[in-house]
Amino acid sequence: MRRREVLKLGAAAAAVATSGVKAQESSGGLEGLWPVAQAVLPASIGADGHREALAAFMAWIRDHHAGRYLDHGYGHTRVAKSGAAPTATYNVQLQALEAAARRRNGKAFGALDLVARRALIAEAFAALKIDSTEGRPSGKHVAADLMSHYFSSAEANDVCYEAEIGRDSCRALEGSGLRPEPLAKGRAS
Amino acid sequence: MTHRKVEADVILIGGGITAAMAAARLTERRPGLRTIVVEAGQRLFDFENRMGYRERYLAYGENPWPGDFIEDQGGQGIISRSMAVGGAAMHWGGVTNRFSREDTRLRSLYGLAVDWPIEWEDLERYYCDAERQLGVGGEEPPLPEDKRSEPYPMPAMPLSYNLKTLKTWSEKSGIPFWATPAAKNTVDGYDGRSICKRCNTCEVCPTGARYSPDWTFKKLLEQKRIELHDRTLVRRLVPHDTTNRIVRAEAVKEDGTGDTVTYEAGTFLLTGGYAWSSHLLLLSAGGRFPNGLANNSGLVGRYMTGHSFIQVWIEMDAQLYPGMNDQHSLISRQFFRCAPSSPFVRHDLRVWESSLAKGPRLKNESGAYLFGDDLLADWRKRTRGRAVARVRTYLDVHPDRESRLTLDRGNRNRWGDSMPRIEHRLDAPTLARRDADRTHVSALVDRLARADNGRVLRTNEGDYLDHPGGGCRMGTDPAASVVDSYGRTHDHENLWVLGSPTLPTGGCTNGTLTFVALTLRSAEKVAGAPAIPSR
Repeated sequence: MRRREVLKLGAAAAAVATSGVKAQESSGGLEGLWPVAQAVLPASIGADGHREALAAFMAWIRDHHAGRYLDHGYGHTRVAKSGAAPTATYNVQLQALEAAARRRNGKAFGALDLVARRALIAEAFAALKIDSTEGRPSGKHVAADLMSHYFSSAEANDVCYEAEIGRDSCRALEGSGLRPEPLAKGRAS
Repeated sequence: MTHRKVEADVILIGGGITAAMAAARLTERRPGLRTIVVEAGQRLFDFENRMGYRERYLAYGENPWPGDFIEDQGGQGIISRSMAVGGAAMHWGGVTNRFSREDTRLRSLYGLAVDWPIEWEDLERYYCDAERQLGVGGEEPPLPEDKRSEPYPMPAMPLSYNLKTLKTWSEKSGIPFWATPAAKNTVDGYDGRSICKRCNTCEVCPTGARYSPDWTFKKLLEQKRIELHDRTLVRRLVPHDTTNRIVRAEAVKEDGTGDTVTYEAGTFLLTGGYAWSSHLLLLSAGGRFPNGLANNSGLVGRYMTGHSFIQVWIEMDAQLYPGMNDQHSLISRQFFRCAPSSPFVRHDLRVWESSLAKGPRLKNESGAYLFGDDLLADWRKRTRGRAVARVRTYLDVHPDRESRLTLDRGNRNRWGDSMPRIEHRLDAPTLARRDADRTHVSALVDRLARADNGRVLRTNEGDYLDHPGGGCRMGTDPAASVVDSYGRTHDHENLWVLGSPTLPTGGCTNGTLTFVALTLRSAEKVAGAPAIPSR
């Protein structure tokens, strides 16, 4: 990832992690990512949930390293390296959403209601033939990647099943046979 | 570039699980021997970084074993690129099923393939030994045919809530299932390793609960029982000018220096696994051995084996919570046996939890995009009260003579050596019963799916042979095999092939425990052999 891009999105991540929702909504540093998050993430996880999901996504972007060997698999093996961080593409895509909002609705993307925002995002997905969420961000579109990052997380898995599954968490063998506890109060509605 | 000569009593070529087991047993029985393990790849002993590698693997799909392969040291048809100290067993799943008596008597019982030159009772003893070495936990088998002479070293991995639910479902078919035995600590401290913490990433176990050969190598090195020459690729074995003894191995350093090393030893053990052992024998062709070493039979690189597989995903009425130790599975050994009077079909039967068709989706049935709570609601709806099991059979299939590893002249490494090319071919009787195999599996799947409103979502037939072996098959007849039952080559008194390459047939369940059992048996024989001077 290039340094300027890191700084731009890194500032956004820091803002997301430390500021209140109101501040985020008016923050120019987010470059359109916050209203995207509001449009694609479940409202039921609340503003705190959005903030955490966005912070985790920004951390994922920040810690992405290009040129690392990927898992070479088993059965049908392949040797491949990670590509460049998709930050530059993300910024272009966020700008495109903003331009479309102003052109179509005469308003900033963040000023549109959720239905209008989602319509624009759906158009962008359709143009890129994005039909599914993936196990991890693929770089096709920033909104799809944010969705992939959140919905493939252990957090979202717990929210979906409304249970404290804690996928990929290390825990004791003891209690293996028990049904997971219901989701702790406050983790979802 | 420099050249050096190293003399030893025993050289093990290839540093995976076979080498770890062989070196441990050999140096236990013959502590005075100078024993050197030579491995092309590097050692990955940075256990302290494993949790971090795991995190990168989960988040970014990065190789959880950084540096565990050599880019130009690969070949077509090889199912793992792993080339490092510890080999593929650094990232194996730890599944340690035994084969069954039938595997060793296919010719006698069914008129198929060949019998192994080993008695089941002999092998069973080494299975117990292997289970102790690897630290295996398992359930005592309820089938009398699976009787064990010793209990498992550790209790079985407890069934997760999901597996308990799936066991209830699957046994409604009348087929009994048990916890799959695994080389994962269910007791804290066994062999100095931690108890399993169900981290859900057995392929990179961050706690050390799952056995991997680095544990053995580190101990052997600490106790100064072996020397480990990693990043050293053996390119040729060289026989004596007039006798059939192997006198040296020629190697090159894979550390960027290009330095060369000659190893002179009394005994050479090939411990490089199913691909690289045959490969080295073929690569060493020349002079009096134009077809390669140990190859008077012409069978080096032939009868490459493994098992085929069919996987089916079945949805049924149940509530699972995917992600709670989902690498653990159920197994039934009900179909390891086949009455000689019945059409031949043998296989294991495994059941896992699965998330197939139960993940979040971006579009609904009508093709509309889903966002936010609509996506979550759709996801929830599809996971409430309906769950998916992955059911897999490993089928006993038998290799044809033309199931081969050959040297691929069009694919060479930086040193100019041809890389291996593996093309599996099944023998005529196996091909003739393929449709019957499929029909049998399909009927079993239907039987499973009858319970709890089951429905088959997807069927997939594997397009490679799993848990491969062969290439240097064992036997008593030097014209029909490469090595004897201990792995000693028929053609060279001081050259042995250990582990997976020696299997005549691949069984119908995971092979590692069998590779290890055979290796321990071989190592004892090597230890008992008279010391052979290096020159």
